[in-house]
Amino acid sequence: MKRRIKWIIMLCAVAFFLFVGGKLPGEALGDRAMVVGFGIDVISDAAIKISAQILDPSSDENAGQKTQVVTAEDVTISGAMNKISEKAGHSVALTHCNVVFICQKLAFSKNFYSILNYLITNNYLSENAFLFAVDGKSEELLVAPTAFSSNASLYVQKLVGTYAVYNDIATVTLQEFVMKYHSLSGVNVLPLIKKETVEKEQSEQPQKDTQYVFTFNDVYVLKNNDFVGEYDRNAVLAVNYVNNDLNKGRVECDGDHNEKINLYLVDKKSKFDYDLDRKTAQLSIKAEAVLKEIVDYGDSDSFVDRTDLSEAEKKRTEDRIKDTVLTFYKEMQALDVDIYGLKDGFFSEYGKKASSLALADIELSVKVDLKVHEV
Amino acid sequence: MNYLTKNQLAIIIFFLPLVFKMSMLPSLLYETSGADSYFAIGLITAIEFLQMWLVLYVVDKGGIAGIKELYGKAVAIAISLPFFLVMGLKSVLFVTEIYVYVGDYLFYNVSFMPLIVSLLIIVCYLASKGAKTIGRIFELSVWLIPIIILLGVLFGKVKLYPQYLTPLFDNGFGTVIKGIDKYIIYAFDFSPLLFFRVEKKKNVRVLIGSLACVIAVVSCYIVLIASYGRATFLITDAFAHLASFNVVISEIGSLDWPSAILWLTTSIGNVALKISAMSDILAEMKIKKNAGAFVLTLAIGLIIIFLTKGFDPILDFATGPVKYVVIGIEILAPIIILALYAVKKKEVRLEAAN
Repeated sequence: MKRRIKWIIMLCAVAFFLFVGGKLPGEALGDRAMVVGFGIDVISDAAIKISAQILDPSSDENAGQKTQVVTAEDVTISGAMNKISEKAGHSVALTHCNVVFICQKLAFSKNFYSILNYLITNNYLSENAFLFAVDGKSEELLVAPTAFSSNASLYVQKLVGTYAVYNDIATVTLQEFVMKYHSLSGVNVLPLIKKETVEKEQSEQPQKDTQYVFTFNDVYVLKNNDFVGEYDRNAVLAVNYVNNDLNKGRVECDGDHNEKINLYLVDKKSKFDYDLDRKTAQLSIKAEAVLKEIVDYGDSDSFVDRTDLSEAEKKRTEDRIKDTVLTFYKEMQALDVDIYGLKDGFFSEYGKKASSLALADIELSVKVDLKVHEV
Repeated sequence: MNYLTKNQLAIIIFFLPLVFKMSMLPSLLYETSGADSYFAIGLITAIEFLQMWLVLYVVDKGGIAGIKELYGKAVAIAISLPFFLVMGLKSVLFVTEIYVYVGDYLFYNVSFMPLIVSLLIIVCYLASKGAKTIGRIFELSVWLIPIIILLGVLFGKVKLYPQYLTPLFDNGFGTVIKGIDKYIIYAFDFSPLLFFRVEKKKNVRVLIGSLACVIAVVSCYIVLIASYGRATFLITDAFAHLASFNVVISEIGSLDWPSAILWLTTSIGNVALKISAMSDILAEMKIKKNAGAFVLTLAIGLIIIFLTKGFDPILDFATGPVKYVVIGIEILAPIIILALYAVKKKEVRLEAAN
């Protein structure tokens, strides 16, 4: 009898939720403004402008994922987000947001961490969301028509999804950013997105539409809240050779007879060894690559038809990687910027004994071991 | 109602010391002990299981019910009252932690009052149902662990920085002791078992549950510190962050729902177990179990809403001098119960000899 009563109550509960559940207070997914990317622009010393790229639920599925960019100004991110919710008529949801853009001016300002802190402590935004600086204003980037996707946010996500971590592509997630901000070095390498125009000829209309592709080969270097500088592809290469996530990319070298050789990186592991007495850090990079292409721009093509590298060519490639890493280290060392986090490494190994070690005194040596697979 | 099978006991022993060590404690402990925190938590959890064996030994002898049979109701109540205070304090602390998790992590921009009321209704219901129902819930919850692992294997993105796990003991053993001392209130959580009956069979699963718990707690801390480095102090919902693998999939959003369900279920089960034991104590004072569970949850709600008002005040209180009283009771009271059993056994033996 008791069991029968339980079943009856259970059936009543199921029936209740089936027939009345829809009337209970709640917010359907379609009623929320799903943000797929958003940008932060500084408009004055104490005000910011937020641009949210919001999926348009009413758009035709066959026409791709259409989005609208809604902007609002406020002194805080959450304040601006509230205003965006009011404008959109839907509460803003960050659960599907994978990318955050910040304007150049914010990257240069000392309020950088203070403003981003909300995003870092906001549990609704994934810590794996990518963080990018924008050459100019982030709003301009978000509204820019992109050549290979319906909107900028999804285009960037697609690019970094495919190419991060590639050896000359820079990416950083919110988690990595906050972790490095609180590290002993306090150094962050922030990817910088630049726009490149492509012209699209439209058959039905005589005029040309300007569309954009993005490049990720430059970076801003920040030390705590200070802007250190803007650096090019060589800096990205250097950081990625040290970064252990990198296992794809391309490595170029000159052949014995001045051929141009392109290798594809298939694996890479790097490891630091520290010696406090000698104040030296030894970086060992073990890389594996596949020989992809040899082009000879000289008169002869007799050096092209081969599937392996000579020892001298291999050595030159190793030296190129080594020089890239060391050159950027020395450039940063001169600015007292611990770009590879050596102080954290020394501290991890030697504890407080290493706390008085100055970056200027640390000598970095690099050993590269390249294995080239024949194809 | 208050009977646990050996399977339920093993699972409860796995979850009981685990749940509240994997939420806010990792960030708090990191602030005090730095990289030593994973060693500190491993050490205290291992020591905690010594208390568990003591408690289970007492339970095997008959627990509080046995004391009542041997010495009468008054002695049983007198020995139970310190546990009542300990479980009450821990319940207030843990319910506060649950609503902070729900209010901070699961939902945004919500008022705390409805959250506390909703939580306490569930806690009250489970507590009134007793250990058997709570044990069954723990038993069902354990299946979420393979789901979380599966999702992690399929979608997880974990990037670890092992250099943040060292140096260990850079400032001597002092930081370990300091961390354990400050947050010892989070340990020694097995006393509710004294009020329940457990299946009396050789139970290897208890040993497996204990070892798995220590491994799980230490692993959680290691992965957390290796993931967030010196920013670990910012991660106030450690398990939720780790078990969601920081993954956002465009179609389904964040992968945190299995971890949210697991943590909520087991944390509510943990508190319900305490309230259930406390209402058993009240039942000895002629207050019916259901009424006792209601009064207790109401009292906890009122304390949280009107007295402690937030997590920090209750944490400050619980990590103050009162923690030594709590731990003293948790360790000494089972020893006293054992002594009472030994005295009675001796008396019986002497009577038999005479």
